[in-house]
Amino acid sequence: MTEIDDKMLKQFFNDNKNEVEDNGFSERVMSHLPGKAQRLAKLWTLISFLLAITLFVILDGFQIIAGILRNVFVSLVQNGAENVDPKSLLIALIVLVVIGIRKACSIA
Amino acid sequence: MSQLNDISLVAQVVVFKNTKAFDELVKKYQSPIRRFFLNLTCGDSELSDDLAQDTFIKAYTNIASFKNLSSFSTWLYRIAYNIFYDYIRSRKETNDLDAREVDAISSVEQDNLGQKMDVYQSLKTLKEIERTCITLFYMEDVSIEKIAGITGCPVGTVKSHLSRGKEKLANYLNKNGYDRN
Repeated sequence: MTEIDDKMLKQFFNDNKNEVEDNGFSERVMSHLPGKAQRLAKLWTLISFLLAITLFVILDGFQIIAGILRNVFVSLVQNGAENVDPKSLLIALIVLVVIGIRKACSIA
Repeated sequence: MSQLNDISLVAQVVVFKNTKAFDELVKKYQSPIRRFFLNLTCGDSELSDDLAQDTFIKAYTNIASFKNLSSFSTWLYRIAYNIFYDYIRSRKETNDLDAREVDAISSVEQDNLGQKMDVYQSLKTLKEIERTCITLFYMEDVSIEKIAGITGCPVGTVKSHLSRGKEKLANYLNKNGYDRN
């Protein structure tokens, strides 16, 4: 390996060293980055949640739920209050609360 | 200055998940990384772009592990080198062919390459490791010490690969009448 050969190789590679044009490459890379799909999914969830809340308020959701609960309570009192076991009601309430907390934790 | 700028961009990606900062890094390094792969694959532009894309995605997912012990470009070349060797290994496993045959098969001839074709043809005469060292040393102006860091080979081994590669290339160019002036 002579010095002349070394110079020749340097010259050869310098002659053929060109910049590669981007031509949309960077954009393709950015669109394939992991986490982008997750961010979009989170954004959609947030938009859907806000939409649901808005519709709930506009359509008077609180009033509807209060009416249903009132009806259930009234029918419960009228049709069989004497047969209701307070212990069973308490257990059902605890179970519902536990399920609710677990669900809230899993969403968070 | 450039290295400081790279560190600042990396910090923005790590701390704030700032994708615009990473976009700047991709735009800055896409040319040398794609050129590196073009030389390693002897001119297969489609394969080069796929490998370069994998390199940047791997860099993004592992950017927190960049410890600034080397420059960002050296770290990126190391990822690119590993991606290329993973590709070569996977091709060897599936095709059970010698890697040089794989290279010859996968290289796609392109239009308007002109003298470029000579570069890729000449690089085909080298083993992958020699091609890696020669490309980094002559085309990307990377020092021997940094090449050793990128390839994980001792400095002496890199020097041997460079020496063998230079000899083969000089013979090829002399045989093909390359004008040294």
